[in-house]
Amino acid sequence: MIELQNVVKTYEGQEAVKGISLRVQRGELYVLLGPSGCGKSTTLRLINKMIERTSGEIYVEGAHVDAFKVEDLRKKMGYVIQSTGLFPHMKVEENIATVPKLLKWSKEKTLERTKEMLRLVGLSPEMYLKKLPRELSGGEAQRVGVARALAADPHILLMDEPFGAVDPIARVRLQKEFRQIQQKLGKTVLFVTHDVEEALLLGDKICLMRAGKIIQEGTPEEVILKPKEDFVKDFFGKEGALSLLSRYGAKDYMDKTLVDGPTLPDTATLKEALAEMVVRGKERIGLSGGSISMGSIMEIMRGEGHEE
Amino acid sequence: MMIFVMGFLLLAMLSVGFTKKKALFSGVFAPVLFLFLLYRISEKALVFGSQGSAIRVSFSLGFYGLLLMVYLLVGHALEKITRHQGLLYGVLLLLLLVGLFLLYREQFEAFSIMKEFQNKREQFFASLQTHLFLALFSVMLGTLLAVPLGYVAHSKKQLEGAVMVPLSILETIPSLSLFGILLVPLSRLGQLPFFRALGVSGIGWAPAVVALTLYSLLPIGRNTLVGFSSVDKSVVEAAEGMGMSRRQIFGKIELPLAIPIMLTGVRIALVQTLGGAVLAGLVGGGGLGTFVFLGLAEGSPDLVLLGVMPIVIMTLLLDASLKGLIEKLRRNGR
Repeated sequence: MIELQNVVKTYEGQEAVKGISLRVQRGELYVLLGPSGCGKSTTLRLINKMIERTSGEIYVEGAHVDAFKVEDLRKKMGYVIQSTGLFPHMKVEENIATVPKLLKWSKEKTLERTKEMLRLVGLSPEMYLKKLPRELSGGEAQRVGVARALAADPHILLMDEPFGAVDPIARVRLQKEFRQIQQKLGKTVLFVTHDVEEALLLGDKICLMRAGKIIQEGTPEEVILKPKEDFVKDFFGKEGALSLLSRYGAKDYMDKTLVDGPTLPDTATLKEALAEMVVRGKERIGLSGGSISMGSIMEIMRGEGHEE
Repeated sequence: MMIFVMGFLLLAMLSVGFTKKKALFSGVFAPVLFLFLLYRISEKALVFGSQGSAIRVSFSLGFYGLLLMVYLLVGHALEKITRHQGLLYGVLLLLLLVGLFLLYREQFEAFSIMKEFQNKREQFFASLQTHLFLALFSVMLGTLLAVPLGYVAHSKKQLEGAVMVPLSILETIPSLSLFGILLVPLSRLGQLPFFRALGVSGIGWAPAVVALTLYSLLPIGRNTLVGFSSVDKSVVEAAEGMGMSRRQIFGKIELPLAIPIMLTGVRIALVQTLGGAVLAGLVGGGGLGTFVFLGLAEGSPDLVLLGVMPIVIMTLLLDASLKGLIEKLRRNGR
């Protein structure tokens, strides 16, 4: 759990973060979203004291951040940055083992954990343990970055645009896999991004910021379907609603009607189903053992919008 | 005779449009041919030499030109080839051993340079030792001084100019003027008992070491600065974010990443200092410069060569071994 109470950060008289209060529940993936320069990254870095706050209080797991030595505070939280920050002179193995080594784990335990982490992020330990960062592709490097952040089993992950520098195809794969890992491990994640689609795909909660202030906070459905002001509407854009559809698996909403033509894979999302309907000019598209119609997609969204 | 003409003609033909194969072949063939040529000349020289003690056999300019060509061919081959590097190094080592063996068996005794060497044998080895000591000691001192300076210039950006500009200015002072500048303060210093006991005075080894150390500051200091500055900011940020202390970041991240570039600075300084140490001969500091300046004064090119050749060989050897070390560190990802 992370809690910020009226946190302010001033740079040379300019307020970069203007009194932010928010609370990230245990096991929640909380997205800080906003245009560049809105203070989202600064807010994240205030939590592990990469930047010292000017005023306000920050609590991590119920304890005030000032109660820890700064190094100890950081060891409690995994930290992933856009440029991966992998140590170029260390093998993947040593990179992942960084925090366990700082915590003086035994060699056997560290190696076991390192292998487990590699498997978790979908890289085979045999192939990758001994590689150097420059031998990795962008996607692989960021997987190692995530593995490194998770190595010491922190309850909290701080992620600053982690997938921003990865090519689009690998990025979507990484996002989906990361979502699964997060749900499996139940980590509390604070995730900074400027990418609307990424925020809608990953976030349990989205917090939209502008100019150092929170504009709206809520579930993806809330921010898309019930925007508080025009800025929110504009920021998510007309396509925002479509991105929302990518949070739903088509298979979960199909009916038993059988239709002709090719079927979508089981992993298809509502967004992909809708796209397929557009491409084929049909209002109903097949899935294995049934199909889904455009009407039912509308129905689902209507339901979400009125639920709260 | 014909063999050599044809052999070197073949080499010349091979040098047109280098491929890896040609590079490897000429890299091996050139030094072999050269050593063989040297051997044949030495045979003839021995015959001449036996006819009277006043007879001197010297190499002409063409011989040294040939040596330079061989050196270039070998150097090119080492750079160009990607496989069989072991083979090339093996051949070079073998040739070196054969050469040393021939030297030991007094095969080259008739050459004038060897006669000079025999005349001044003891002085030669003493000078060689002094020369190496002067150079290595100065570079060591320079490293001890310049590395902290470079690090300060890196970590306190506002001090960068204050540190680097004086080092650059030092580098521009001609060595003779520097000796002149050092004369007074060093002789003053030599009046203190402690320094007198060390043998510090306005002339001798002290000004040589001080000057050489000062000259080595810029390459080492600058490369230290560049080495540390070239460490990716995000790497340091990640290390901080994972809870490494300042000291751990320095020891485990910054220093290992900066070391190849720092060592390159040390390498440059060493090469420069090995050559520069000749000037110690001017201020009574000893070293191989003694031979060079004596040879110049007496108009004896052989004496000059006797001083210069070991410097060239030492420089090549030390340069190559440091280069090898740096490459090894690089390959390990640094």
